[in-house]
Amino acid sequence: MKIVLLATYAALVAFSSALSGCAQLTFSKDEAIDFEQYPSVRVFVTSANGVADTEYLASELRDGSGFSSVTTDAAEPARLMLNVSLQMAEEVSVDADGNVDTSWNGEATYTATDAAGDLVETGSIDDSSDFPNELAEDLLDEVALHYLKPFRI
Amino acid sequence: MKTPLPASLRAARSCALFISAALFIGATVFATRNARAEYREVTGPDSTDAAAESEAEPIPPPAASPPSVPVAAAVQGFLAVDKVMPGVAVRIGSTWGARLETSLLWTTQPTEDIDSFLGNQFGIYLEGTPLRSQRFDLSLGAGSDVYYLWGVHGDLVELSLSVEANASYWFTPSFGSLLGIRAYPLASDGLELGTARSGATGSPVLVSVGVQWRSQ
Repeated sequence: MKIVLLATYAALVAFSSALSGCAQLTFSKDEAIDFEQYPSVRVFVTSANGVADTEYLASELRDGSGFSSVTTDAAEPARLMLNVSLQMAEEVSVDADGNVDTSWNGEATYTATDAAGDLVETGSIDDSSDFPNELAEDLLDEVALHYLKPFRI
Repeated sequence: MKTPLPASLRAARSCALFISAALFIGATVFATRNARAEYREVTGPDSTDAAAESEAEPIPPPAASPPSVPVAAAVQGFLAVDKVMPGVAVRIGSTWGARLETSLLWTTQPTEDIDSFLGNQFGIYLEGTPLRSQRFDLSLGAGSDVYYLWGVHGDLVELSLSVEANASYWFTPSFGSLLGIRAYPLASDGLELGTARSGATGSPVLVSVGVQWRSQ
């Protein structure tokens, strides 16, 4: 038995030593759109707190997206228009003991169009939270992450 | 911030979380049952001493102590090109057990946009140990590795379903070395084991080495 174990261990050591020099572990994020073609974006969020949500999304996009310019000013020219619609609904449940549990479910639908109004891409993201403000931020965070600057490291 | 995962990846994530939870619960149940069985073996009656004991003064039975679950703790590092990954691991259980890991993750080749620190690795596995002796043991397991790349961006997460093998050599009853290998049969799009930054393919096996201590 000991010989089997020793042989197994030796084989693993040899196998691992042979592999360790060439093990590659790579993390990456592909670009959601062509950021060279669309370097600037104008953001607009439709929600209960549209102005604040628009500013929040713009801030998140400035932090780490592939866009070199992000604006919320409708008068400022941009190559891409990003419209996001937040739909949120409260869900109330009551358990057998009469305890009331409240949660929020939401969906962010984003539509990106070019300067001519042609559709570039569209998509939606679902999430849930115990609080509506937190849910709105989470959904917008996910939209911003979708446009994260591509990397490979 | 959270990753906007596609539907297929969300299903994979749900699957990974479900399997991880199932593995953890299963490992806990197995470990507890094993510990109880071992405890009964230790504290059970010994027939060879029964006659001698009957002639001597009765000795009160030892106070029952709660069954102990074997625990091993390791300091380990993963060997990956361009990455530095020191971490710790805990194995709970004997023949069957749960293995929990966490590591810090750096790259030695940072870019203009990304610093060297990338985030953390978290691992949860169910392990079985089919080979065991005083000096050696070999464990095989399945579980999940989760990479939180918060050094890159907020809640950027990459997931994998993983299979692994860990071999131990014990220098003393309590102190030993650890050698592990693992592969990711299923992983999210942003996680590639066995593919270089350039796209060149290499070994799809991640090796870890470390030292460990175990309870008696």
